[in-house]
Parts: sequence; structure tokens; C-alpha cells
Amino acid sequence: MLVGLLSACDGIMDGIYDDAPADTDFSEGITVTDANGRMTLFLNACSYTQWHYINLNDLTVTSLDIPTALTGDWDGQSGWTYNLVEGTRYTQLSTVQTDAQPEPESWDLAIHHFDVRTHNGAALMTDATSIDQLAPNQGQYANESWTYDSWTTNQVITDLTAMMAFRIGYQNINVNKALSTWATMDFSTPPPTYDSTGKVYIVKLADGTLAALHLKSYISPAGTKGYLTIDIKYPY
Amino acid sequence: MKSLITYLLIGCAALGGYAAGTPLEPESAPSLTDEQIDSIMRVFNLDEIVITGTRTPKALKDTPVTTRLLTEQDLRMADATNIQDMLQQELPGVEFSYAMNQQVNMNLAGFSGQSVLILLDGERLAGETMENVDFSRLNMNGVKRIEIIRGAASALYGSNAAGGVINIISKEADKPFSLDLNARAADHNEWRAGGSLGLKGKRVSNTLDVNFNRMSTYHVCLDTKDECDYRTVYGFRSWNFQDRLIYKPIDALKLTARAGYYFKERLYNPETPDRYRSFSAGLRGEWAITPDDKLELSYSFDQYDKSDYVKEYGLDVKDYSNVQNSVRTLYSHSFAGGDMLTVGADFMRDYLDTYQFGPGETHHQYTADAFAQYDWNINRHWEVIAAGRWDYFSDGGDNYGTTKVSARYRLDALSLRGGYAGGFRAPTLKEKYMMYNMADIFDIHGNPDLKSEKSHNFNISAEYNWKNFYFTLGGNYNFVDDRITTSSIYYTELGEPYVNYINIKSMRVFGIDATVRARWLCGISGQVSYNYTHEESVGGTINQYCPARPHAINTRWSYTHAWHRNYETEFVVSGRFLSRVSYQSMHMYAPFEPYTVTNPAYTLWKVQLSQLIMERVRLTVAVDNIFNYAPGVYSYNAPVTLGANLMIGLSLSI
Repeated sequence: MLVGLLSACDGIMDGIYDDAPADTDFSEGITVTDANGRMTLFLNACSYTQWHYINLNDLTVTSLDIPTALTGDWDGQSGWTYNLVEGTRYTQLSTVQTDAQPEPESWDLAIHHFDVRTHNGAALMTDATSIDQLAPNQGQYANESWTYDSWTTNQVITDLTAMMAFRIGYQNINVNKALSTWATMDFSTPPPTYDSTGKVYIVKLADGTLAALHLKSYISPAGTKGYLTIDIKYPY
Repeated sequence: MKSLITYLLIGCAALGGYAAGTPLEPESAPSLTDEQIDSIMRVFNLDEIVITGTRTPKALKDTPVTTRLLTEQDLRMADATNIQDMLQQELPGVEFSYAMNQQVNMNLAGFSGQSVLILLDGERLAGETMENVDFSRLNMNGVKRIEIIRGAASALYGSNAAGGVINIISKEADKPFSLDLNARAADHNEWRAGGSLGLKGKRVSNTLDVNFNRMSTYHVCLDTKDECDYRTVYGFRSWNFQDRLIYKPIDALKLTARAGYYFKERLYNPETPDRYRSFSAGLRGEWAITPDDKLELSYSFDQYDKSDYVKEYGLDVKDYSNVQNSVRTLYSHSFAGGDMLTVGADFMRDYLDTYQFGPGETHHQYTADAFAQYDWNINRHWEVIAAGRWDYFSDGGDNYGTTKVSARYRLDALSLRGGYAGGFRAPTLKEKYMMYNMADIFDIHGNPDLKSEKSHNFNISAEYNWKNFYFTLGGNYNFVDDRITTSSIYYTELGEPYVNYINIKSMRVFGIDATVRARWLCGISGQVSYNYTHEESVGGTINQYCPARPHAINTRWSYTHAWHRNYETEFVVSGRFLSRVSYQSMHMYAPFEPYTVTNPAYTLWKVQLSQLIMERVRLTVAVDNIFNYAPGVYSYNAPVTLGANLMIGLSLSI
């Protein structure tokens, strides 16, 4: 034992640990898993400065930067709002005017870290924790209370550099508040902590078709938060 | 009133019963005989053997170094789970508070955890978080006693012993067979279960301690959401295994082998819980060459790892490892007349691999030291002890010399102690080579040019026995030069903010502590302890930890009564008061200006009733925080409580 320990100057029992996978091993994209509209979206949404636009029909993802400056006439609402965040209380400190958020020609959902918005659609949360638990769509959600996107100035984080001071920069933009509950980051006592509901969400797209979404994971194998694995059934 | 005082002074013998402990004659005369003094010593544990102040066994009453001893009885009455619970309940001036990420920082009378050396059976512990050891490793299962030295002790222990030493001494098997099992349940789904198995033969003995703890995550700061430093107390589970095998091939030689494993999982992020592990082992030989010459040689291995468990992928990825390999030797020679010479030397390899270094970077260094101490028993009244030590650190080639001198004067039941002790804390590898981005707010840079932090401690104390009472009064003054801390915010040429590890001018700590303990024949005993600490920093920095509260009082009263030889009860009331404290903190955004924080005073009380049945089964019911105190604001140094907490425990001794 002594010889073994003396030779272990840099430590023992290394074999009980796993090698650290690199985040670059995370394969992004949309994988179709069966012919009934089931697919899995793998998305690196770590960046606070990009929106990722998903087109459920042609299965594409387009990433576009959040504007940081105003290059032309101001639309009267786009920009970054800095808030002092004290628990649930937001005090607006300043606003930086920017261009409006650019969008691709055709898209259905947009994701920014854990925030989601729809393209003139709406969403609701179900009790199901897997898409397999959902009953076939027979119009049972028609009379449910749908949440439509709404304008926010304290939801979409763009600048966390003063997190310790609770002075956070947010983008002024529409967000679907129901869908955005699927994962949350709490930075009220830095460093941040994370949680997720684990529920399946139903999204009503602009053309009235439905999609079922389940955020299966928000972590990469390396443990980095913001790598999303989303189980999707479209159309549902 | 007069009759009450008289009753208290002479004892409450009328209550009679099977009082625990050695009877103390209530009518003790003012001029005490040697037998009476010995009796007092036993009652107040003053003839207990302690080792930390001198590195050689010495009766508490004789040691010139002021030592606070927490005995097995104190441990039982506190019903503490770990060292944190134990010290907070027993010692005024000890406060554990949170730092960022809910990591724990200790403050021992003005000195933070990084300046207090924690030893387990005399051995250092590897690993740190924000420069504090992992206090959860130090559970109270299988602990025989805890010895605390306040003030510097680097002349015997080297680096980190700048503000004090806490030495936790484990039990050894003393019966052919012993088995102790214990369990306790409390609020927040908190469970503690442990066991100790002792086996002892003529030449061989073995002690195995196993301990399990768990607690669920719960939320605090439910009403005042806007000002709290923390809102969630994160659940955890931990295991601790310790085994000690002792072999005495001949009477004069004692060989000890030990091995330990510790595991803790903390649910800070439930999907990626933090994991902490330690692996420890050691061999020690103690040889009584002659009745007057003793030689000790030991080897110690301690490894402390941190990892993140990515639950979904089943991956356990290590991101921190500190490994310490140490060899120590100690020789002591007793002279006629009671003088003793002690010399020793240590060698250690310290290895660190941490996520706070640059990618792929690791560092290690060798440390070596030699020390000598002479204990001079001048006469039955006077004893003087002096020591000197030299330490060498291979990283940077630094050398440090430290000295100490302590004296004791005893006249009957009065003992006076005083002395000077030097201390230092060498910069750690982390403080020298850190390169870490702090949540995209600023970078923290290590500083290879850091100098060692040096402290000078002057202390005096008096202890006195009078009838059933035991009084101690002490004072200490410390000044710390080249204190190691993080700087204010600097900016790079690109305007990016960073902080740097730096040496600052000095810190001064002044403290007074006083204790009154009493014990009566009828089984009533009590103690009240007070501590005053004044902490003053010179130089421009912001302490990242909460400073000491100026005033603190701890008290504990107990009544033990044996109703029958098979049935005994023990009722314990304990409480602590900590005064308000104000200090400077810093806004964590440009221009990073300081501001004043004030934390309110608070008091917490605990009652506990335990019943000992057939001398083997102990059922304990306790209510902690009986007055249902809840902090208005959960600041980092507010007590972690939502209110009264019922605890039920059961232990079995075979």
C-alpha cells in the first residue's frame, strides 16, 4: 500500500472519473426519428447574442445575431434595456436603441438560450412529460387557454457581465412566456442555478397546425448549460 | 436570594441521585490541599491529556499553551453532526458563514478559515474551497476530543497556523468488542446515521467508523425576496469511512495504519450535482526507545477531488484535485526534573490540478521544515516553553522562520499563562497561478510574487478554581503583515477588469475571552463563555468574507440524573448570541465602489432531553432554535434556519 501511495504523487483513483467530453462533440441539427413527424433538434443555444430560427417544414435552423446598435431610423421599440434585478423586482436603468431583430423569410420557432418565441403563434404546457404520453390530437386543445407572444424588456438576457450586481441587459422583443418556462436560469444568488419543468408543450403555429415540443435536455455531455435537445412531433 | 446563592455555591446535594462525574466536596476550604486540587482538575477535565499545544502529550492543567478542550461529554451534549455544528455551539467567536456559491467560510476570532490550521489526528487536510477545508469531512462520529489553540502556532505547525489550530482526535478501541450505532432525523429530511466498530486484542486493535448524512434542498428568504444573499439551501448526501488499525509488536512500539474515504454530493444544480471526494491513508510508528526517549515517524497521504456529475449522460468529470504526500518525524527526550526537548522535521509534496488554472496546467511544490522545542519545568510554579522552526517552499525558494515562547505560573488553583507566537501562511499554488474568469464579470489572476503572510500573536490568560466554579479570562493581540487577499479592481490595457492576489499592509485583531464553568454534585453543570473580537484592516482591499462579530456569548446548562442504575436522563439547554456587525463590501460593477453592510444580532437556543436506558440505549429528543428565530434577511452570515427544528436521535452501544 505504501509503495502504491508513494508513487501516487499526483493522485489515485483517476479511473473512477470520466474523460471530459468537449462541447464541440455536440452535433447540432435536426434528426428525423420516424415517419410520423417525430424529430429531435440538437441546438447550441449558449450564446446570449443570437436567436436561432427553426423552420419545421424544411427542417432548417438559421442563427442571426441580436443587433447591438442603431444603423438607421429607430422603430420606437427595439433595443436593449438594462434593469436592476432584485428578486422579482425590475428597475429600469437605461435603454440602448438598436435595429429591429432580423428574421429569416420563413420560420416557426425562435430560440435564444432558454427563451422561445413563435411566429405569430401560441403555446401551452401539458401535464405530459414525454411526447409518447400525449393522446392523438383530436382537437382537445382547441378550447384551452393559449399563451400568445408578448413584448418584453426583462426576459431575453443579452448582457450578463454585471450579473453580480444584478444589472442585467435585456433585448426588447416578443417572447412566448408559456413556452419559455421549459427551462429557467436563476441568477438571484450568483453563480446561476438552473431548472426545467420537464413538460411537453403544444405550439399552435400561425397556420393553425400544432407541434408538440419536449425539452429533453439543456446540458451538453460536458455539463455546459445551453445545449438543447428537443423532442418534436410535427405536425401533431 | 441569599439562600439561593448559598445553595448554588455549596451545591445542590439535596437533589442527590446518581450524579455523574467525580464528586466535588461542596465545603472546599479556601486553601486547597493537593488532593482537592486534583479533584477539581478531574471535575473540569484539567487532567485530560492534550497534545496540540506542544506536539507532545501533556495534561491540560500543565501545558503553558492555552488550550480549549472539547471532550467526549461536550460532543455528546452538543449532538453535533460535524465540526461546524460543534464549534458554533461550544465556542464564542467562532462563526461559519457562506461565501459565494454557498461555500462555507470559518471565522475563528477574527481569522478566516485560510489562517486556521485544521488537523485530523495531527495531519493536514488536502483541498480547499475559497481557502477553507471541506468541513463536512470532519464529522463527529468516532471523535474522542477536539483541541483548539487560538493564536499563531507556526513554530510547531508551519504554514496556515497563523490564527489558530484545531486538532480533531479520533477514538481508539479500548474494549475487546464495542459497537456504537446512532441515527438522527431532523427537519428538511435531514438524516444522520453512523456506526463505530471497535475490536481490541492483546497486540492488535481496529476501529472502523462509518457515517452517512443527507438533507433535502429547501428554500429560505420566503418573504423578503429582494435582499437575501441566498434563497435556497442545497441538499446533499455524504458518506465517510475511517479505519484505524493499531499493532503493538512490543510494548514500546505502536504502529498505526489508517485509511479513509469521503464522498459528498451537493445538489447545487440538480442536473449537474457537485461531487467531492477524499482518499486518505497513513502509517505511523511510535517507538519508546527508552522511558525518556520517544521517536515517531509517519507518512500521510491525502487527496481531495471535486467533480461535476452530468446526470443525464452519466458522466463524472473531475475538475480539481489536490494531493498531499507528507513524511514526518518527531523525537522527544525527557530530562530529569520534567524538562523535555522535542525536535522534528516534515517533508511534503503538494500537487494541485484545478479548473481555476489555465487549460492543462498543473502545479506542484515541495515543502520541508525542521523545528525544535524546549519545555523547561523551572519549579512547581513555573514552566516555560520555547520553540523555533524553519520552513522551506520549493516554489519560489521561499524560507520562513518562526518562533514562540510560552510561560505558565501556577499557585494553588490559580494558573497564569502568557506568551508570544509567530505565525505565517505561505501563498498557495492557487493564489500564485490562478487564471480564472469569474462569471464573465472579471478575471482573477494569481500572483507568483506573493510573499508569505506573517502574524504575531501575544496572549495572556488566567484560570482559577473556586469551590464549584472554574474561571478563565484571556486576551490576545495579533498583527498580521503582508496579508494575502484579492485586490480591488484593476483594468488591463484593453479596459477589461481583473483582480489580482496581493499582499496588503496589515491587519490587527484584538480579542478577549472569558468563561465561567460550574458543576454541582446533583448533576447540574453549566458554562457561560464570552468573546470580544476587534478586527481592523489597514490597506485598500475589500475582504471577501464576513468579518468577526464583535461580541459573542455561548452558554450551556445541563442536568444529569440517574433515577435508577438502568435509567438516566440528561437535560441540556444551550444558546448562543452573536452581536451585530458592520463591514465594507464592494459593488460588483464598475466603478466597483465600496458600501457598508450591516448584519443584525441574533440568538439561537436549543433544548435537548436524552434518556440513557440500560447504559446502552440513548434516546435523544431536541428542539433547535426553540424560539423560532428566522432571519429577516438571509445574508451570508445569517444563521441557516427557518425556525424551530425538531430532532430525534437514537443510539445503541454494545
